[in-house]
Amino acid sequence: MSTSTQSLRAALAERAPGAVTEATEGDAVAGVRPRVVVAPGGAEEVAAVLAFADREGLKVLPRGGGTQLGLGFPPSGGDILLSTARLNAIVEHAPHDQTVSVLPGLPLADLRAALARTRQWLALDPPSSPGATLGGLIAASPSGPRRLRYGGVRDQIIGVRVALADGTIAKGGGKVVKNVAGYDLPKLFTGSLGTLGVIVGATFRLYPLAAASRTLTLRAPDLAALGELALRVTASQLVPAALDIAGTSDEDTAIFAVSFETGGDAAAEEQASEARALAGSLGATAETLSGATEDAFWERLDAGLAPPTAGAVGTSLLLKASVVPTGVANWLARLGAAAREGDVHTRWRAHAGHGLVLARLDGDAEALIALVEPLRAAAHAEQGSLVVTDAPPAIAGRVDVWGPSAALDVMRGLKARFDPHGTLNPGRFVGGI
Amino acid sequence: MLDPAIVAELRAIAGDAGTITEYEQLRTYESDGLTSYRATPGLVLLPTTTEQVRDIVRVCARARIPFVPRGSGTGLSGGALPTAGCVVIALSRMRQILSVDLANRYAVVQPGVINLWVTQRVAPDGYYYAPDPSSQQVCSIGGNVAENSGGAHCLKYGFTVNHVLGLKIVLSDGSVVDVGGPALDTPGYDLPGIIVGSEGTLGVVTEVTVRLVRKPQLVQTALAAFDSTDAAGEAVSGIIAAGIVPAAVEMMDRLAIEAAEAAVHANYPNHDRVLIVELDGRAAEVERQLEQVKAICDAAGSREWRLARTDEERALMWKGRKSAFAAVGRISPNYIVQDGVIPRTALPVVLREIGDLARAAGLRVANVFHAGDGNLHPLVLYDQRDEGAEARAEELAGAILHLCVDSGGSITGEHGVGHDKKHHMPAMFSDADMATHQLVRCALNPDSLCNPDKVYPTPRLCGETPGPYRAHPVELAGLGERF
Repeated sequence: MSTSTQSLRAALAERAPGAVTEATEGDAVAGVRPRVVVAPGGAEEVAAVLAFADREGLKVLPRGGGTQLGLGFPPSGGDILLSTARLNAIVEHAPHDQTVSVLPGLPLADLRAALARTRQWLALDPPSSPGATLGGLIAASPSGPRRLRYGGVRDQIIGVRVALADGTIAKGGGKVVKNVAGYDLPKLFTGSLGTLGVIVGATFRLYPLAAASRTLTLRAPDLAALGELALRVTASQLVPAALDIAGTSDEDTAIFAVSFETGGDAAAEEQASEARALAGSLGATAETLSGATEDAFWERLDAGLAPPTAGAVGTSLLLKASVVPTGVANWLARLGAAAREGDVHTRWRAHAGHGLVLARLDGDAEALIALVEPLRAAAHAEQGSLVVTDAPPAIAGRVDVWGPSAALDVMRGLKARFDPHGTLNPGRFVGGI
Repeated sequence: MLDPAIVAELRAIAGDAGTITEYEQLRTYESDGLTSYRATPGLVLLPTTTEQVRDIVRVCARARIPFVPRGSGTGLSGGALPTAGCVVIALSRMRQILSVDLANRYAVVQPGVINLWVTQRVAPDGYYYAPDPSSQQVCSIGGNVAENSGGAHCLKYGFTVNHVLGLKIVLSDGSVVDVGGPALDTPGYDLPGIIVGSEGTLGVVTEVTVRLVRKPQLVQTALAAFDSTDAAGEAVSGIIAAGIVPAAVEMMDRLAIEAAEAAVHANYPNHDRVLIVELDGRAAEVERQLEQVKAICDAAGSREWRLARTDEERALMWKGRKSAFAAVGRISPNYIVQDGVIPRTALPVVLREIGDLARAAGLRVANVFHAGDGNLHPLVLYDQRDEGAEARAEELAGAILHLCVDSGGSITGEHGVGHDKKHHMPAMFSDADMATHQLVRCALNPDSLCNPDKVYPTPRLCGETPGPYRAHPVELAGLGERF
């Protein structure tokens, strides 16, 4: 590092005036404390900061709302924390075209509120994390229960504007939903965790908000039976929006929940009753929820995976297992057995219709570390993968948070072309990219 | 002219039955569905396995021979246009459905499998493959992957890219890589996302894992006839504004209707504009939406409303629409199929402007389009026997694309850029944009041996693996420039 922090601040202030501050302990990314924080006020400023850093051999850690910083390996370096906080606006909402263009620092919650005024939504429901921004959402690509019906970030994003490490500003995709002109940069940047460039703008397609919704929920002890029920629902002609099985290692029973979103109450009710019929004897104690009770129910499921409160003893990991739907119950059984063996407390939530399972593991650090690979092997056995999506830095540095990739060489090749000097989020991604 | 020793080596890989060298037979492969561009390949190979494709690519890479992958050859942008003397790798003999997993809703197929075969295979169990380009009876899944094909039902169900879970791909150096898979969110970059729609420029796909969709409880298809684009457009806007996501909304204008009638006797109403509206899903929901849609069409001034009462009637409604391109041959000796996208709300304005441009050019334009997502398919009609008509038609087709871009849209919604629209890319993308896109190709196909000179007007020179700048040999020879 040739520059002193003071001259670094001065150099950055030239490129992003009024936006540079010294980093504090709170700005650390997975244990790596950057020297300065810069919050550029426009795409050109982002580009200028990146070009400077790239030339000087300084490492840049992009940050949106900072809600996903537990994802990935700890960075191998980090001089400049680049915050998108000042890039916070809806650029254009075209309600009749059902599209919206945003700047990356816009909080998802603000976008939701704005879109709700025209009875529309960006059909993404990642685990609740106050402050989460659209740029971070693209970069980390988390998803929620309603991905079953609406798809994930990759299915909603239609355009992206990025600043590359060398200061190039480029766009891919466009503002219309249907568009095959040029390589699909929006998808390449989705889930790329800030390793290819900094997202400085994005356009999404929107959906109308459903007029009515019902959730059928029940409790049962037999995971295999609940897994079977989930498969019966997806094999039926019901149109579920979300299909979850959730539980904890403290309880003998698990929650099954399936929701239906429709244009009218009757159609939602009808599907809830048909789902109840599919449940057979399990349906005897089922409840159909609507309105505020229904919203509260899903919020509770979301909150169920929150990290332990400060002061809790031990360590906590969040895992995301992705398996084929028929493998969900098997993987959960393996999780249960592993938790018992390792004396680890688990809280889990399976999006059983599309095979993504989130599991929060609380316990002794060594026991948690020992569980990652066996649980990963269990996910591979069900044709999938396992990623540690939130871990304290001490653990993220000791386990392979991403797992193996069959296409690692190709991914390294992409990284080498987009960010040849490894300026952006170095070391955080798959294979240490 | 290919080196005979190389030809012999390639023949040994693909076998005599999979090797075409006769000039007359090679000419079969000189164009795709866009026949205005032609080039005769040096050799056509018809491999039957991934290993054969891999070995062919390795020989080409070693001998630095360009190779062009090809599916059914139905593309409309020259994406499978050979370069003169190249090796065409035709995947049409890799046509097996390798596995079907209904419980997990996916199938693994070879690239030469015809789109419709997937649906035919799983339909008895109540499933289907959603992307349905109009050519689905003949186009291949591999071609669909290359072009990110759409179809009439994209509005609700998305495009090929939303239905491809994984790929096996032979890269330009002959390495074989599996990307994605049956389960979601394979760790790392979204490689299926970037390969789908790359128009065969990133490698040769040899296996495709596709998503299967459960057949809806009820499908209803209706025709609504209108006197004007404004009225029909108002109906479409009304449907969307009501919060309905129809399975499809198609619009045809009078010329397209006449052509469809002449060709397949679709029995469309005799009006200026026809909308085909399809709703699918739960029966109760579909019935309720159908009433809403009818009321919206009535309010917009619909002259006639016909509901398909049987599967046969529905099939006929779609047959008229899906055969519209070819049908135009009944009313014009020559025509250009255009593909552009506009924001849906710009529909009435853009269609008027297309009409104005057509009148100024002294040509007719038939309009067939996916009204729900603003994907236009203007068909520019001309008679090449008329002096200068072909040039005027091409100019008009180009001007229509620029209208699309100026309204905030795209130069292609589903047919791809291929060879045909390369020179229109700068209307949408800056040099920096295009140079950035091509970093992807530089990573996967750095020497551009795989389907060269497609999509981008100026091929970016990739140089060596990134590092300090070194002039590319082509650059030194004064044959290209760096940007």
